[in-house]
Amino acid sequence: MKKSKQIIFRSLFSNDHFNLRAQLEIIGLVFIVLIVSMAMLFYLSYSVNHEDKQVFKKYADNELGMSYATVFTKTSICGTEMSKLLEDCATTKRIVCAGGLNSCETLNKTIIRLLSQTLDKWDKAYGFTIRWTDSPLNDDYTSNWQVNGENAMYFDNEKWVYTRRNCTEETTGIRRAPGISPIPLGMTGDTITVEIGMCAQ
Amino acid sequence: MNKAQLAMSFNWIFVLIVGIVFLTFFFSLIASQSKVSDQKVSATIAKQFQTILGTTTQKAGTFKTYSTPKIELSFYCDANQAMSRYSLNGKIAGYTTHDVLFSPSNLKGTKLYTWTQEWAYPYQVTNFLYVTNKLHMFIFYSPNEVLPADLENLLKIFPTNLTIFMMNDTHYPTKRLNNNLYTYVFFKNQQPLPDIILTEKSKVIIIEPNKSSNIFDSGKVYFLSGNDLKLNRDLDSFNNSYYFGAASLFGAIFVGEKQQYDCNMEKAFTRLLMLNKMYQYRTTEALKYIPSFSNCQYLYNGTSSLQTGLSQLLDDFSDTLEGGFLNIDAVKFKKLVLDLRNKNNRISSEGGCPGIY
Amino acid sequence: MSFKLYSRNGRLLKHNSGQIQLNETLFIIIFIILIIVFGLVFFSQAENDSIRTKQKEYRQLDSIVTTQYVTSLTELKCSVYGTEDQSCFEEIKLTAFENLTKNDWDLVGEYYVNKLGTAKITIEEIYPQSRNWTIYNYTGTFEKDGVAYDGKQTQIPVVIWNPLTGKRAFGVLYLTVYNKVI
Repeated sequence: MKKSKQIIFRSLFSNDHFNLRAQLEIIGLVFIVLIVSMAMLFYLSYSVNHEDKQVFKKYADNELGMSYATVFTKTSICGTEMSKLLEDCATTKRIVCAGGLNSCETLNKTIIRLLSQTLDKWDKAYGFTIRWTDSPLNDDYTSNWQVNGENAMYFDNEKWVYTRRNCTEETTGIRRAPGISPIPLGMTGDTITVEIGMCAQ
Repeated sequence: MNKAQLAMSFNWIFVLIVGIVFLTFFFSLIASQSKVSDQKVSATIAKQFQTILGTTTQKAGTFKTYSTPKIELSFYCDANQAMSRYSLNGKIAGYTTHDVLFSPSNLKGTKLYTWTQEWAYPYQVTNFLYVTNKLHMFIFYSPNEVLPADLENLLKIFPTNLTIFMMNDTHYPTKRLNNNLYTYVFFKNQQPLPDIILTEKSKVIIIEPNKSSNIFDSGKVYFLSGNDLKLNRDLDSFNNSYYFGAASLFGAIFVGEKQQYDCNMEKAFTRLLMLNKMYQYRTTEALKYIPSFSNCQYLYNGTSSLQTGLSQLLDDFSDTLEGGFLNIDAVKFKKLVLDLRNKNNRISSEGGCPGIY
Repeated sequence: MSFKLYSRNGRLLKHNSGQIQLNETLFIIIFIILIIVFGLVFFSQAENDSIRTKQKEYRQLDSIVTTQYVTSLTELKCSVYGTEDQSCFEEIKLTAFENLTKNDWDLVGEYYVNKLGTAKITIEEIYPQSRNWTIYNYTGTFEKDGVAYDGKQTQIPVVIWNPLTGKRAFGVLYLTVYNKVI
């Protein structure tokens, strides 16, 4: 028995160099398989995570924001223009519209109607803000145009802010640049700005 | 030779064969990939050019420069076949069936210039797109230091970023460089024209405005080659076409040849006819809301033979345009344009009446 | 370097080194070919994906060009004595354009199909009244069975101006561009 084992042992290890080469070749093959598998894995992970550029969506959202602000302020209402009604609401409140409503009440009603038939109907995440401020070119103002996360309509004595459906946490948080339509208020130097911007979804 | 040696030889032959097979395979793969890559680049450039065509024509008065890899752009337009296309590096890249694009038929190089001008005759019709490159030289002639009024007015609008050469009797291009295009621009009243021009592959445009007070209103453009100028023949024996408006005149300068110019003007006139039909429908629709027996209604409908109304003018205009640019009755066309302009001015200024433009 | 096999009782067995070498070489060749084939399949799949992504990107660019074209259509834009109002369409021109495309499609059809492709354009007045105009609706190439199309709608607010009364209404342009599903 011992002799046969010796014979087998001798046969197995009769050529050390040859056996080492075979082992090296196997290691080499395994190495190649590993590299190829890893390359495929990297590519798959890249292709799955690669986001669509959404070029058109960005363009459409920007267009929507910009044109909404412009069109809103130019719309005829109560025998005048929306911009004039906003001006009146922010200052003298002299204009009386259909149904005996004053400029602010008419504005409120019209804005809700417009938004419900457009942006709300299209299920857009947007921010609609009307702001009475000293200078629309103020840096803080343009970067902090989103106020709260809730629908809010409040009239403050110092600043008049009307805001509806700001961007929420569910969206990506990247805000598209809003369309801004400034309305100068007579001789005071103040400006009302209407801002409408879409949230990135 | 023993078995071992034979085995070794066979081994080497086997290695050689397999090696050749692998190398052939990989080299053919590389060759096909490089072809695919070239096609990809061409497709990308073609798409970019298509986007340029689509977006640039929407804003008038814009001048843009595009840097590209070395490409060869060719433009072909034939009004009789209603065929209009452009090729990139010899392959058809797109069709410009309805785009009015004035360009030399062949452009080679790495820097592309595009310019747009609005064509309004009498109302806004479309924007003309002009395409050229850095190697296209526009040579204007002024024998004196003080520019003639015609040329001065032309150069006021002509983009300064283009390659422009101001030529006189002593200062002119003497040597033709490779790939360069030369377009000489003269006015008929500058005759006798200098013959110190490069004759090989150069184009000559001679402008004959109808009114010296306004060269852009209308006139004739003569298309000659460099050799033609030296022949000293009567101008009317050469190819010529009408131009209507500044945009149209610039088109003739950029394109430099009659066929391409006529073909693109044909497209412009087709568009003009479309718009005129549109304004006819608009006039009919507006009349439903204009109060009867009002001044506005008289301007729109006319009052028998004493005053032609806007409706009638638009109808006549459509009839004149039916033949297209190639068969246009220039005198009748210009008269109707003038009448429409006057009528529109009257309508717009006489309160409460919507003009056509 | 020959590999010798001995039996249990010490007898030298036949030399199988050649056969084993051959098998080894064969396996290696098969393995290399498999790797190359996998590589090629993988690469062509990657190329396909890349082409599809580019196609989608170009399609988006086309949609942008179409949208810009529609919003700048001379046929519909307000024109007050030579100056043009951005984001403004004239009410009378909307009805006129509807009639033009309906009655003179032979003259204008080819032009608009070339510019707009398969698309639907509707203008709706939101305030003060509620009206709409379908100024373009071409789906002429939907004849092939089994080819799926999808349509993305874009909404662009516009002023609808009445030149006779001077009043401006709040309107929306709905543009739906139909494309083959990639």
